[in-house]
Amino acid sequence: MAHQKSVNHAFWAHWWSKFIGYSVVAITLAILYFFLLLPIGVVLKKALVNQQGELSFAYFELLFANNLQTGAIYNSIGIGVFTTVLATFLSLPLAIINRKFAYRGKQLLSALLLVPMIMPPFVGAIGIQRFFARFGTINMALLDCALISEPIDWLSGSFMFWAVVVLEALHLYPILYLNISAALNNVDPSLEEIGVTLGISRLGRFFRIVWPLARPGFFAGAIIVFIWALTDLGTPLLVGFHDTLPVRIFNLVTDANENPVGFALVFIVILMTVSFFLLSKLLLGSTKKFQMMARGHVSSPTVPSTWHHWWFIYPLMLGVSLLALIPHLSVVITSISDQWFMTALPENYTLRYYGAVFQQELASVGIKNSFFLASLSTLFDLVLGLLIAYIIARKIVPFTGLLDALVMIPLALPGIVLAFGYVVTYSNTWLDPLHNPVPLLIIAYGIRRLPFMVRSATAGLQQTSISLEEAATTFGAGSFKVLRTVTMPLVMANLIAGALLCFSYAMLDVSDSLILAMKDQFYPLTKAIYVLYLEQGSGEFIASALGVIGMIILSCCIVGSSLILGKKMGELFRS
Amino acid sequence: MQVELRDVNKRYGAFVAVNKLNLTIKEGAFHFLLGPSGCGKTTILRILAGLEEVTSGKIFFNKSDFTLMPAARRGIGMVFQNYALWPHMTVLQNIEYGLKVRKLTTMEIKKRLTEVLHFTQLTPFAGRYPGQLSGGQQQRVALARALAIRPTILLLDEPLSNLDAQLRLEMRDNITRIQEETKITTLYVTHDQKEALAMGSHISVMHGGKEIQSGSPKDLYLNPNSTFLAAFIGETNLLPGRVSEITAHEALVTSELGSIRGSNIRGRFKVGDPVTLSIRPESIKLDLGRSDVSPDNPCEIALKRITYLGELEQMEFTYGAKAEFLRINLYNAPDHQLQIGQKTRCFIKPSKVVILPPPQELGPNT
Amino acid sequence: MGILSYVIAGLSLATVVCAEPKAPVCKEKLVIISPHRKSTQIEFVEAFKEHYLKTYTCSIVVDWLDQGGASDDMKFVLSRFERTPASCGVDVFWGGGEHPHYELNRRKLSLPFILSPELKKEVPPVVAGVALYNKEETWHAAALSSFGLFFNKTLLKKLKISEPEDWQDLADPVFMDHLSNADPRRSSSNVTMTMVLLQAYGWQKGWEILSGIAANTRSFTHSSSDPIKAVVTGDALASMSVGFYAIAKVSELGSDKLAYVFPAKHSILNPDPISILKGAANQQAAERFIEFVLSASGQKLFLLPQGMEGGPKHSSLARMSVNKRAYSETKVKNISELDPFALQISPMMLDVDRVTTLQFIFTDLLGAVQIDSHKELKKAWQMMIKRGNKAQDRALLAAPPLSEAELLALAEKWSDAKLRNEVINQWVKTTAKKYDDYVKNAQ
Repeated sequence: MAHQKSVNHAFWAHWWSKFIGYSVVAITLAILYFFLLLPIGVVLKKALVNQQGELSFAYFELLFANNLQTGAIYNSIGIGVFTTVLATFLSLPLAIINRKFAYRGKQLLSALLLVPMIMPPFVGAIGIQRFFARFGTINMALLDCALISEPIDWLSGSFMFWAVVVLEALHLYPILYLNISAALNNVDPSLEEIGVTLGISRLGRFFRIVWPLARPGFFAGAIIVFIWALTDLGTPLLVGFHDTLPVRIFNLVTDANENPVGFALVFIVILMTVSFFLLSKLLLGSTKKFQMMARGHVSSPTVPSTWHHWWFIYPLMLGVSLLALIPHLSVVITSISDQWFMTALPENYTLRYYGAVFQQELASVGIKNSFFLASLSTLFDLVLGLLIAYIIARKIVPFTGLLDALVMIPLALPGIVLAFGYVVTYSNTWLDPLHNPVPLLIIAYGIRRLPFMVRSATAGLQQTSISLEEAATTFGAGSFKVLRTVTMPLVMANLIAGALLCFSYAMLDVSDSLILAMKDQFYPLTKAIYVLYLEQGSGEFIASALGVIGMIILSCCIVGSSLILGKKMGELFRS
Repeated sequence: MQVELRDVNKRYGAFVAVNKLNLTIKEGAFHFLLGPSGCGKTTILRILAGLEEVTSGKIFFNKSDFTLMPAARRGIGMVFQNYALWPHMTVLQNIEYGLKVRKLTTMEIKKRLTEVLHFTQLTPFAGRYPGQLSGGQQQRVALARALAIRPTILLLDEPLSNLDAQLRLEMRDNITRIQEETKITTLYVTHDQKEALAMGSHISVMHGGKEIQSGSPKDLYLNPNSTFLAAFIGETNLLPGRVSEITAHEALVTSELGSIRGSNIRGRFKVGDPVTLSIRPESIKLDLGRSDVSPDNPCEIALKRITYLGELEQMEFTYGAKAEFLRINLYNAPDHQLQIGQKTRCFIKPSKVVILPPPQELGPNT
Repeated sequence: MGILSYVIAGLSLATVVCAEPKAPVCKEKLVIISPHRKSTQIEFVEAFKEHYLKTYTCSIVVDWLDQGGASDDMKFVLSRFERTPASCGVDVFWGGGEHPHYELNRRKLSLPFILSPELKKEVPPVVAGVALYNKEETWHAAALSSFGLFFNKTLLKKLKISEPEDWQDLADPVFMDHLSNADPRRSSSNVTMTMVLLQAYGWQKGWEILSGIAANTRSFTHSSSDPIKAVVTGDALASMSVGFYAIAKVSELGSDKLAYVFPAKHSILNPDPISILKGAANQQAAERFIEFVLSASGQKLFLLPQGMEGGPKHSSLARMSVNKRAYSETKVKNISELDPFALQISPMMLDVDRVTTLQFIFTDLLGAVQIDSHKELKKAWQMMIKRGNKAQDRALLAAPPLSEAELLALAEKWSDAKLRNEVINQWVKTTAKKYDDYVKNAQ
């Protein structure tokens, strides 16, 4: 009798745990289907179906018959490659220094390094214009000092490509820096110590021991930076460089007379993203065998720095952040300028635009909404991203490579395509953005930033041995308990890095905010900035002021989370 | 807890990791699973732990079917080869984990922690993180963690393979002592036959996903049932030959070394059957003119090399036309004046000659 | 997770809804979609609510929707009509220039609303060459804008260039690399401006001026507000511009630094209409809204400066009105750029039918021959100037790849996306080759 009971028990327990496991996988995949594949499918079918309603590849032929589109493809790949290289050169030394050395003000400087990734939309363009126009700040300053006689045309012709690359790299290096830092901290220091005992040189240790182990983390960041730069719309528009894929797509699909070739181009971008991703994974990412047993939770050896280290630590740390903060600085100056016309700096300064911001209900509502939406979408990303990363890293379903590539798509998708896909798919349903856009906004924010979390968490999981989880299972912990008590703490650094990116970029989301938040009570910060920016007169100054406030809030979030999370955050910023 | 595997198969695609395995581990036994890497022994351990599902077959714990029981509910204590200590928890937290999952009372948890820390001599290290411990200490934490939950079965996966030689000997005794004191049914997986011989009360030898022989260490050593086993456990000389004569208890085998009489017949052989003789190096006696050596199976050999190891001299001899060597171990070596190249004679007791079927291809694991 | 977030979102909505003030006796609703600025929204919605309560003793809730731009809003409306052809859930489409309203009318997605005879006395069918509503009255102009030239006086002085007075001045080689203009494919006001120019100077001369302006343009910007910024920051000397954008900047930074010129003879006033959408659930409220917007008291919100009795409460809107009475009652006080009812020189009358037929194909044509081939055009144009700016060279370079008649014929087939793209590709190819060949032959 007792046996019979136990057998039944085993049977049900077995199927229950299977059921839970498969349900989680099924729900995860369903979310991806309903909020990624379905909405983009609805929009992108216009690329594959001709006006007679038949399947047709004519738009693709037309696309490749046009030199402008193919030229834009090359330009975008170029921007992606050079941005990734430049961002690597910027972030790698910083990450290494922070792992190696202890120095005064490290916490603050490390947090400062992350600030450039938060650039409020729209107002950035004003700043750049102000600084780099032919009679803008820089040229006026140079002219005033008689260093040049003719203004330099910074934002024209051949400069533009490189201007985009530099701005992209300065904007995106924090992503790489976060990922490399997390990865370096995941490398068991004892492995490096073994290298010391084997008499391998410092450089050799780095390239032969540390780097191969940290590579998944680097790869996770680099692929995001590459695809981001490849598909970024904002920066090329800011510079005025229109021969890139994202700008072409944006123009074609938002043309008053919508051109289906634009949707064909979106297909090309998705295809490029997925294949670049799979290709680089093939070349760089064979990480399975690099799982580490004991990990970097052991305090890594930091060297207390001395004065002869300072000459490179401080200039590098400060230099990179300040350089990257030039566009931000220009926004700050705009926001306090009074009468700024054709001079290097404003003639007068004023704080009245800040006063004006606080009189606008729009501003406070926007900030509140953005906080609410970004927090929930980050939570959404944390849960969904970790589950997906888990499915991918532990190969729970077949074809995890495809799933992996699939979740990269949101990064490649032009924002308007997904947002518009939501509008079309969910009109007249309970998710209709016309009535209450909040659920769709949270999902849209979440889906669009999902790649950050998935990449970050996957890198962490790949660096963590599966036997740590198995051990917990044998000790009687159920799957969710294992996830909570063992897996998550082990990849905490990666999760924090991912969540930070998700939150910051959700706060700065443009397309979904513009298209889905249609009533002003739902306007997020970015749409509030946009609305103010369009106002005549002092509009752009008030928008800049609100942008600055947004930057300050986000910077406080970053620095604040580093203080609140203390030791865990320290795993990112720690040496 | 008595454990039984019945007709267990495990396939990964075309690869057969475990092949129709039947195995019983008696209540309270210290059972060894011994075999070369890739023989499926770790897979069996993982199947028992519930980390892998069987392709077919059943598992019984105390006669109830546990085949489908989820890992978390099996009540098993497992020590992983890499220890799998959670790096983000202290020694104490590592050990506490299984107890907390079981929702034991604080009192009970405290009691067990004290007990197991003391038992494994880890009390001074309770607050440290695994990364701050030596290999031996980590191994003890892994063991303590597994013991604290008072498992019904203790599974050990090559627990000593990551330790240096000195520590390994120490930990062997530790584990044996703990097993004797707790009487927990224990399955110990290793590829190190010395470890198995030294520690085990019952050894199952695995090869190609199958159990090929099981028994006490002595039984396995003295009566191997295959050339693989004879060679895997301890040292041996394997000599191919052919049965030339059969009597009631003995068989005469013609080999390069000469006609050897063996008494230990495993299986039935007919005259003319090809066989392989397994003769342990210490079972061959040199003709040093001593009267206490009975002159059985005399063979002509010539000395090729001597390795002096203190209590033991390892010698290699050439014989017949073969290029192979006959190895002989002399313990507490008596004085001899054998020179390299010198011809001499040796004797072998028929009871020490094991006649085995010739090595057969066990075949690839398909 | 999705469900959880929805629950939380629902709760947040509940608080939002609860926070709204208690309704009096009756409560009506109006849903407006509009790319109009926030300031316009605030002034009109507040005033309308007040007016509604007073006139109809009823409170009204106005849902103001916006997706960020006219084409986004239009797309939203169209996609909803595609799903549910009876109604799109929105009552009124307001603003975004004339194109969306022409398009809504063409697709029969807007409802006619005949103005009362009293109101028609104040809002005539045509003023200064502009139709203020169409025959069926499916749309009504709610405000007017002008098109003109915006330039940086300081910089002109510095570079010793005389101030431009008419469109053709912008084609002068002295402005080489000194103009900033929006890509007509991105800015419907720019399309209208170029079509006005073409109508004003005739097909051939018009194309020469357009080509000259394009050659002088530094880069075609993505948004119609960027050229204004470029002129203000000194990145460009001048641009073609919508009046009220430019005038706002001039009044902000001073007329000694910036200026806006309306070349009345060669320009037009442009309606910014309002339409009621098919299947409007609140049709009556929508009609009342249009009546209010067109009425003198509504129009004064556009005309009067902020703070003045009957004017906007929060910020000046400074637009041209369509209501005669509104002008006569605000004479000296109004801050509109022009009074269309009292213009000295009457502006051109834009051929609306022609604009409607041609707008899409013409935009694509401009895009192909001037913007997608901008680099080549610039080189060829500079070469032509170097070789003495000869009339025959200019005619050759400026000539579009097809005649006006051919363009009109092709316009009918322009909704065929495949044909459209094939033709565009062809235009880009042949035009770029023409420019390149010219440079090659000249060398």
